[in-house]
Amino acid sequence: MLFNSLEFLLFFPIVCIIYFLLGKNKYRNPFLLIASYYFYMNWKPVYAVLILTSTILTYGCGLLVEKYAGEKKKQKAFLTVSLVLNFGILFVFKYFNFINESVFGLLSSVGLRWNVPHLDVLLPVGISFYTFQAVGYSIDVYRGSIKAERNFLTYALFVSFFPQLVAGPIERAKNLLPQFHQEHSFNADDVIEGCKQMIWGFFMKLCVADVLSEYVDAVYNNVAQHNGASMAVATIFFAFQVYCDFAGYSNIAIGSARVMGYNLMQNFRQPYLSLSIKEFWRRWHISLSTWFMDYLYIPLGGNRVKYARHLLNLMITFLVSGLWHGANWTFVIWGALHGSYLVIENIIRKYVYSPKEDSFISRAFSTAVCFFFVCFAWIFFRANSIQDAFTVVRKIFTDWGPLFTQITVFLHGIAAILILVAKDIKDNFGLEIHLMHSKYYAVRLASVVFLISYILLFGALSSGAFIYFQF
Amino acid sequence: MKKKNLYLLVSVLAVIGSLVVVDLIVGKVGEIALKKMPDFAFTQVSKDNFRLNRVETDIVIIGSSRCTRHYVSSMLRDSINTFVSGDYSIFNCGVDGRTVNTNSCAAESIMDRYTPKLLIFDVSDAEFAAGPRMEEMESSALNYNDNKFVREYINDFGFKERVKIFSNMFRFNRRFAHIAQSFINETENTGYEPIYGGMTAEPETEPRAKTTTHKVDDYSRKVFTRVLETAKEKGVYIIVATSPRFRPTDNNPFLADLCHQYDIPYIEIYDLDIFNTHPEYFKDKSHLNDEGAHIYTDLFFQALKPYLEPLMQ
Repeated sequence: MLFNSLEFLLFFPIVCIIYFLLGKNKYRNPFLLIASYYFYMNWKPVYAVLILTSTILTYGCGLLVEKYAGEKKKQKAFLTVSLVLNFGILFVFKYFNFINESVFGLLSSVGLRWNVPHLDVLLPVGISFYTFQAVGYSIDVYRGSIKAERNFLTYALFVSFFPQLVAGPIERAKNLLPQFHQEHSFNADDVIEGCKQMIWGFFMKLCVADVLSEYVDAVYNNVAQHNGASMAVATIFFAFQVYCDFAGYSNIAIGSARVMGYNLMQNFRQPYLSLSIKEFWRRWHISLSTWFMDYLYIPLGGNRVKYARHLLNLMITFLVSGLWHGANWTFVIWGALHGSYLVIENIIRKYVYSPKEDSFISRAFSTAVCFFFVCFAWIFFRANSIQDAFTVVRKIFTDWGPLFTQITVFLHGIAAILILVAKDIKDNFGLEIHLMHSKYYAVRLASVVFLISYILLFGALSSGAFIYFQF
Repeated sequence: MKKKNLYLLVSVLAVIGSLVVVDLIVGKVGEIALKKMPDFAFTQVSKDNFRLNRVETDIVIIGSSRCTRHYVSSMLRDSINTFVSGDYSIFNCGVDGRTVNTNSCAAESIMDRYTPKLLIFDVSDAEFAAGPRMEEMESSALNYNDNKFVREYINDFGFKERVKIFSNMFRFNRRFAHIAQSFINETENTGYEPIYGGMTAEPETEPRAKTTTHKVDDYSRKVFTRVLETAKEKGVYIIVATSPRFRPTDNNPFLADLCHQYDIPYIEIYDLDIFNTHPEYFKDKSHLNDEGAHIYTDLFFQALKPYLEPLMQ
């Protein structure tokens, strides 16, 4: 089920009403579990089996690891089994065809035959998200940083909690699991705050992301027909599209969980106002960045190793992050670009120049430079193939001409971007301008009514799924 | 009830109440803008609105983007008027992105309002394959309250669309920019919208296989058949036509059969050597450019001549 569907607008209030009427957790948790599976099975029912499998594997692993506390070898063996099976499912459904085609291409180029058949399967929605969440739980139990969950239904709810099931935030067991044991009484403040966050999420998704996507798709799906000017504009639009698509989803997820009294982690913090790539990754998809930091970068040694190894660790982490985003070489290059940015930035700051001046101009310049490099990497993220990506890069730098325009997209898209940027600047710099949180009731009411009206009047209401569903 | 819960309840009611007021204002403003919108402007909203509510010409051509790009209406009008010694007016009511279902709705609206002397319906079998799509009706939906055909077509999409269209803000969703654009783009014309630039293609070396057979969607068949029946009933002289594509791999047996069944002239200039050997007449595989449109209009007129007796004065 999509958040931006009429079905969800009916589903969510009904779930909330029943949830609060049920009163106690022993009724609420099984109900939320059923609602979550219903939410997921609206897409392709049979793939719920995969979530259930991942749930059973990691639940069992958690219990066994805890049972054999002190016997490191056995614990390691159980954890390995859990990781291999979970990542195995992910590999089969997400990466098998990619690896198969890559090997086929490689061997064909040297005249060898490779006849492993293509797997005719659809990528299960959100598989990377729930797999990482469940695997994170297994590792946490193994490390002893949390206790294994004994109640299977509660654990199953942790893996499949519908607000964040298909596109995150990728929650940590330490944060979310205990919340399923707490009794959440109806709290009007949570309901109001949650709804406001959901409305802002819908604005980001429907008024920015989906409106801009019309222009971006028109250009990127037909790179041969467009010139560099249109591609540059499409790339900047895509930067806002992908941000608002994903942050919009996260806001709706966090808001809907908040309505029911649950706190999910913040996933985005005004990423395009970052002064450096390092800072960008502290503000972009925070739940994934911290996942990779905790479960990959630090186990590799992080920055507590020789400098060259530290830089290698950065590269490895970002290559894997790129591959996590999609089974395509374009994503690998995107990851490699970000890894390289970080490596170069690190070397420059260590050996060449470390900015100390904190003037407005130097900050604005750093923000613009950072945005430029992030946009450059987005070309590879969005392009349909590596060839297309290089065509876009070549045209942007060599082939300018009249801009391809779609008047309504420009009008609606740019107006919405201005609203978004104004809010991000206000939040980033803590400006004391409050609209939805004004102390005056009339201002709060007018802001909410304005946003909902804006969404209904100018949002792309018949738009498609969220970009990050495919990951 | 706790104070905070009461506050929540009051706030929810205040938001809903305010939204209803905004919605009513949007509906009023939107309907005034629609009424004041210029007749002739190259925008989808303006053309959809014009063909549903205002067109009154003797000859009406209706169809998709292929229609609006392929029929040089002023040229066709002059040719017909010379041939039949008449003084008929014409308008090309083709609209980009509209296929047989939306065009049938427009045709029914036109025939309900008045009796054109000649209705040329440009359509191909391919249009019957996709079935109805609400996106095509989005501009027409602005007339939901006033046009019974639009209402009927949208209601056929089911309960969900009926609920959505209940809101004026949804009905006018992203349409105000188009309406404003119509005021800016106002122009005197007969509905033909030329496109320029041509394709290139290698010559055909082997006979082309006609492999594609389109599945005909039941709903599309029903509404198009209804148009043919209404035309017969109201005495509207209707001609069905299929204009060229570049080296098509399909053909139009369904339309040929249906027109034969209803004894309605069918002019098929779909797969012709003169077009297949001249990619420069096309902007893309489905659309003729201005040069191609002039050639096609002349060919179409030659094919139309035998059927023009009812227009003789």
